Amino acid sequence: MLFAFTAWLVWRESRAAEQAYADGLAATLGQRTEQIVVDARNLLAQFDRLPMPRCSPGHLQALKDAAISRPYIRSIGYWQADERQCDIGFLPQGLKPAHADRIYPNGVIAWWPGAQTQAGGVQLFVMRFGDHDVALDPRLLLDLGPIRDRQAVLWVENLRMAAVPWDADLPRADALPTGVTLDQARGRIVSHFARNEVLPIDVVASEPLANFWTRHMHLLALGSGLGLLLVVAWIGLVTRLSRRELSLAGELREALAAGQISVHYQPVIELATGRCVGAEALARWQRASGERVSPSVFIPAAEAAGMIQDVTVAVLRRAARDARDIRGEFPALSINLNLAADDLKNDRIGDELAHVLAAAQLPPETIKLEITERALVNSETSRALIRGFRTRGHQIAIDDFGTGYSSLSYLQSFELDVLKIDKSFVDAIGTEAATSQVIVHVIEMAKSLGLVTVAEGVETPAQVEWLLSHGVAFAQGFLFSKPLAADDFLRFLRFNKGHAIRAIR
Amino acid sequence: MRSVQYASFAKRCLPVAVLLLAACAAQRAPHAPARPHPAKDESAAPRASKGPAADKPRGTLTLPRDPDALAPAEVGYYMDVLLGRLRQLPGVDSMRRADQIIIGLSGRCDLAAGRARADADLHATLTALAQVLNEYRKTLVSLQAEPIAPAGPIDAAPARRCVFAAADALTSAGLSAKRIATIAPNDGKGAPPADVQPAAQVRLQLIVVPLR
Repeated sequence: MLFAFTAWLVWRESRAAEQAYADGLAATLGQRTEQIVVDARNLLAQFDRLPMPRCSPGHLQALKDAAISRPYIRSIGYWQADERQCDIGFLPQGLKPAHADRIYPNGVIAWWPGAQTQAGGVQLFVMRFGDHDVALDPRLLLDLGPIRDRQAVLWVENLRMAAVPWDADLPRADALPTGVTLDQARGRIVSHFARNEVLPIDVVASEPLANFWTRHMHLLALGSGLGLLLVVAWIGLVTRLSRRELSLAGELREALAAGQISVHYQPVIELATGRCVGAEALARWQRASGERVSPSVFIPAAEAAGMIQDVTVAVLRRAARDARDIRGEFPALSINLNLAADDLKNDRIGDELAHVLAAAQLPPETIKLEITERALVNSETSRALIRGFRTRGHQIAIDDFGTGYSSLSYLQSFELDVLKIDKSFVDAIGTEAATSQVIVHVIEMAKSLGLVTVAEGVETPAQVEWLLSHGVAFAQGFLFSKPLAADDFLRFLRFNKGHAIRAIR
Repeated sequence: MRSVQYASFAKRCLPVAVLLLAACAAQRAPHAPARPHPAKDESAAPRASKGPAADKPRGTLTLPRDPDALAPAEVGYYMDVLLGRLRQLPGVDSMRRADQIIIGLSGRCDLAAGRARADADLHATLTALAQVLNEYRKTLVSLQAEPIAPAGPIDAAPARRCVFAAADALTSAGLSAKRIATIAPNDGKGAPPADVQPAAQVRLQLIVVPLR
């Protein structure tokens, strides 16, 4: 795929370069041709108006002066009808071609280069106006540079004006589409560019494909290099990601063993009183170097590596220790512990929970368990575990509700206590978004199931007003506090005790 | 109308005249015969009309070659450069038809007043034309009146006067009468067709042919 892309890229770029080259060539040749033809026409008109007697020294000098500054002029002649009277240049007899290619309405007559205008082995372009004519060497119109095997034909008014080499075998301009085409039968690339400003001018050029590729070898090399680079980069990226995943898991294992997984607490506020009634425990990982690893990175890595229960246990242990300290001062406070889907596959967490609480001498209601909607697996094991948690006195909250498409009947089949409304619904409060209507139904559904509601991600007082007016009892979010380290959380609680967050109302 | 006596085609013009008249006759209505312009040299006219060609079978015309005659290979160039030169003249609408040059003139004869003379513009054009044709002497010129539109029979008498007036203007400007032929419409003998063109719708046309 990468090589195919590279080949296409090289072809496209080479073709564009060829097109630009030929376009430039056509523009240059076109401009030069137009300039010479128009100049010749003006010269002839000027000769026609010369006041001195024809063939006098003054007249001949005027002709010489005109020719000497124009290297493409081979001859200028003065005629009476078909009899050459005098001239300057290399054609003393003049040319009398049998058939004019163009006789313009203004009286200018033109003979395009051909057998009938051949003199000294050169096919000349002849133009006559009135009693003077001028013969031009069209070979000077085509200069293709030192590119071997290149052929070109210059067409003016659809008549062949010049060619390199003179017998160049190229299609007629009017039989060829403009642009670059590939003539595979003859192994060449043919360019046709047209210009029509003063005169209709076409340039048809060709060169062997081999030359074309040779000329664009640098692009080929560049393309190949780019392709190779892309492949190497791709392999490197895949390898690095794999290693990183593996190393991250290993690092996490070490961090767990070293107790580097810490816990931050995001306060849960009772909206009616402004009092903090609990907090959600959130895992945090700070490397020894001080670098913080985002939960969005290490939690999925832990799940993928089968270490999520280790993380949950680590958080549980740390939360229990902190809760013991906090509850000494705030005895009604509870801590919410997040459980992953894997935590509900066996009773390890249940056992650890019982052990930790017993060791800390904490009542079961100290720890509430949050299970994401997606983690609610419809299996007997998870149902039994959830039932067991509740039996032991833990409240069960469904987290991030609204993101998992759970139906009311499905939720009813679990024994739940709290419904946490996802931040995306809270964000939509007061907007025209369709989700702003959904939150009303979510709240109603929670009420009908007898669940306590907690709004997540609250950021504005207006949201609080709205939530209160719709019967939502609790909330958490940056409006109240960001997640705090244990010490900071304790300070927050102390402050909150004296200054309940009433200002939000 | 002033009766101008022009020389008709001389012996040297005879071969071309025969071709010219035949070509022109084919273009004209059946009642419009081609004929030489009334010649000053009356003796030339009988020679033209009673030349050896008249008595010989077709294809046996043998006349000495005119020193001004164009060789077949020269005709193309000669007529090309003449056409280019004619196109430099204002009021002249010229086009090539094979080896002939057909010239339409924008001016018209002043026929409305019942006279037959070229108006000022036409006279100036004819003078300029004569100068060019004087230089390109290896040609013959036929003059004829042509309906502008729609094509059809034309009023013979004024048209004839117009043709002769134009010929008069050309000779006055120096063009040899020997090189001019007039192709007059119906000469007035017998009644003209009922659907004749008004005189004002008639214009002059010159046909220039190479002298071979």
